Amino acid sequence: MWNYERRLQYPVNITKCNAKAAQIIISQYGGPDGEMGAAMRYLSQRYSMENRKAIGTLTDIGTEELAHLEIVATIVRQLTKNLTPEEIKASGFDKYYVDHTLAVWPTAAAGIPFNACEFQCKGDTITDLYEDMAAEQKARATYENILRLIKDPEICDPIRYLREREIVHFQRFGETLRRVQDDLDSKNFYAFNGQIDKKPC
Amino acid sequence: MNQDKNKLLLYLSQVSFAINDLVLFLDTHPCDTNALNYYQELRKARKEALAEYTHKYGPLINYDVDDACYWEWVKDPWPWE
Repeated sequence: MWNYERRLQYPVNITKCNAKAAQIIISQYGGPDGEMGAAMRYLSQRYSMENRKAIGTLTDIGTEELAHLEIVATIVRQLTKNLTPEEIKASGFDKYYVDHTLAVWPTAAAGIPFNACEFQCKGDTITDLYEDMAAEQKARATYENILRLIKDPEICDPIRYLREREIVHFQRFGETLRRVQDDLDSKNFYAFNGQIDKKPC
Repeated sequence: MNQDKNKLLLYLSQVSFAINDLVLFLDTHPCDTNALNYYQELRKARKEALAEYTHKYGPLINYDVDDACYWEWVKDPWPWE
């Protein structure tokens, strides 16, 4: 069960339209390392996790990713809501506009729709936690690429916040992995054997 | 009036964010006494700020709607507007 709270986790106040920026930032909505993939990855991986603390971390980070998804959508919406037909044609936003008008739809910047194949739920604690750490680094790198391409302070402020959260999440998944490894038996410390084959002691 | 509303919402968001961040820390450090105490402190601050905001400006959560004449949940702007 989730509850909706009618506010953003971090404020977004964008006063100028910028279709070029929106086309780049939408990748963090539905692109390969975006917030939609992040939320679905962590919330889906929870069910086969055996470590209680790892389940807590996945639940709480997965929930925060939903709040980040709303922040990214708000940025895209505020950058596009008052676009004129001339601006839409001149910025190259016309290729998106023809299918989605000014709606927010999950896609990568290059036009590839959101795809669940961009994340994995392998059903193995060690495998999944390594994937989660890599995902946080990929998302951080994407936010840094956005900051190299866009200089408007109204846009960069919430993007910087989102980038910082990737660093915190990487740290927490790293700590979770360490705790899981501490609990493994000595013969299986490096986790050559899948969780599914674990024999009862 | 509008400035006070935004100020209170910002304060609520700051306190709530401190909790969001602390929760992730506690998930991996469940025995940390300082963090546990800080959580209780923040929890009280958030509860008070949320109650004050809801009382003055309307519900942020649809369990807190307190108006028998109109469904005020759909009255105010949404966060992206």
